[in-house]
Amino acid sequence: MSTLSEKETIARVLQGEQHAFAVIVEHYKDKVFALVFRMMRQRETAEEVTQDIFIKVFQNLSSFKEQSAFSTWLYRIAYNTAISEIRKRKLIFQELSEHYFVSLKDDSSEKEIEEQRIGELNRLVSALPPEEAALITLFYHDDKSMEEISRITGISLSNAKIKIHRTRNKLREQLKGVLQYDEP
Amino acid sequence: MMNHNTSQIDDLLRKLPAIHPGANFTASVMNRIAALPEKAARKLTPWHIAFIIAGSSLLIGLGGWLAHSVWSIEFTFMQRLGNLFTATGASLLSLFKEVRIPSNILGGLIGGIFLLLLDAWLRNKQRKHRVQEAS
Repeated sequence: MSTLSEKETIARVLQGEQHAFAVIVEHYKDKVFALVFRMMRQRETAEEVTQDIFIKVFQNLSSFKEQSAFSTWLYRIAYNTAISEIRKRKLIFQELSEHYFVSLKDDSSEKEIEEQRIGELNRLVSALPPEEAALITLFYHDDKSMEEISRITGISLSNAKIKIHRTRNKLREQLKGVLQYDEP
Repeated sequence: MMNHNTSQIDDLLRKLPAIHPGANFTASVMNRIAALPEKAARKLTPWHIAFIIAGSSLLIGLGGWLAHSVWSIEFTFMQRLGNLFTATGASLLSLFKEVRIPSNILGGLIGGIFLLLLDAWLRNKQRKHRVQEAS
């Protein structure tokens, strides 16, 4: 959806065309859901919270003043809602503490090895604490700039850069520790 | 051993599988939106009433304290009751405007404080007048 059509859609919703909001939901649902799911880890809860986020966006659409991109405003609501729901529901997250290994066979094709790496990395990302999971999702999945991430999460720009760098290094080390080649 | 350098991990992180919500997600959201009550038909909920009472009580207390300590005015029971109605009325009136709840309460508080201060000022003026007449 282009910025112009997005603006037009928002204007239509504000003029009372409620059904036009479906265009916004359809466009952003996957990205918002991915962010919330990565933070909350539970599919059903994440879906419920994502619905709440879109309803909140609909109810507060008139307060969107175009000081930032619409997506940044929406993501900010999504991030804050997910964080407050995690606190409200007292969800406890445990990082992967046990050491496990996944063997890669020498005769595996390059594609198979990469698929296995991605699968394990996905598992490791899913085990990250909510804030780290959000930062990684926003940066790698949603291609958000550091400035946008800072605005969405309320974390200072320098702090966001450091946190993403550290999380990336942590994941790299964890992945290195998990995947091993079978000895011939 | 495998070597995972920085660009490699970046590349892998970008290839993480996409996550999608359920098939009826948009329809569910739109159904919930359709079921939302109209903004104009805002109902007076128990929360509103609680806020009004709390705000009014605060005003009565503040106004009474101000009148007593600053102007040495003793309020009778009926005067206090009158102030309660004035403050509650101001809060109730402001509630029907098309503004958000915090603004309503703030409006009620400001209105109530103004009325209480005006009331206290007038009573003080009357008292001084009576003292002057008596002397």
